[in-house]
Amino acid sequence: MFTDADLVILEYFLEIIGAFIVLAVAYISYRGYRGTGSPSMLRLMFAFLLLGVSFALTGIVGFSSIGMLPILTISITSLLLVSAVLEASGYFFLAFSHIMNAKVKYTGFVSSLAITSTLPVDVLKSVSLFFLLYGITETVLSYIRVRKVETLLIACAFLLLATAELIKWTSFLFPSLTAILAVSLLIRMLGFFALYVPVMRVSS
Amino acid sequence: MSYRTQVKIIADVLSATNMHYEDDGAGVTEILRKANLSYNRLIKMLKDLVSAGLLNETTNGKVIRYKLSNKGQEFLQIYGKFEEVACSFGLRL
Repeated sequence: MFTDADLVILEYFLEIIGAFIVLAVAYISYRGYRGTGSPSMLRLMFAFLLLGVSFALTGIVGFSSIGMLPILTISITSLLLVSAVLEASGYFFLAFSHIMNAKVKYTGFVSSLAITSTLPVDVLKSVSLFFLLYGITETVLSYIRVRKVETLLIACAFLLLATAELIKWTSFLFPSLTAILAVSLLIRMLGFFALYVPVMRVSS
Repeated sequence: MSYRTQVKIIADVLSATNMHYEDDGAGVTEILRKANLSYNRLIKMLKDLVSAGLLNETTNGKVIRYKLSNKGQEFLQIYGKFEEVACSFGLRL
């Protein structure tokens, strides 16, 4: 059905779509910050801005690496590292928003993370996932408190994005099974859609 | 009990005066009761909100009343809208 090359193109295309969606959420958060001066909206804006730039960069570097865009003069490895740093920072801001809201002192927050990989990009991806999992936990707890469908949708969106990332990691173990990567992409797409639905009403 | 953010407190004070949008405004005691703040903190906040243009202050003899300005109404509308967004992400505005 899909060849490896098709899936790779689809993956980079999805990164660009994801960038547009999260940048739209960042813009809505910025409007919220400008209108109310709320620090929560400012942190949310930074989180999604960093994630948006990271996704866009990953997509552009990806297209460039397969020759669909002019070859970038800067090393692709360096750009992927920058993208991973931005992604980790974005998820950190997302987790940080919850920490600031809870007003709880979290000590040894990052030190509890078990990192087995030695590559900087992989380490940063692990850190991103850790922050994302923390964000999921806090959003689910908020849903239990407020019982709002929108909160549940956001929690599902984060859960889908985390699941997609984990499945993608599995695909590295079984490179011959392209279906694993296809499933990961499909879940990621659903995650982006679920993320945008609750904020769509404000954008109109 | 959950704590209130500064933005939430501002919205509560403005909402307390919003009930008197049609007449000459709300007095300090009434705002105090509805916004659930200490007297000193409320007086400071009212001054800030008047200087920011979110409230209009009217004096009738010794009585000072506070009325929501157009800018204040706009703030409350935006607050309501983005409180939903923040709540969707499990955050408080």
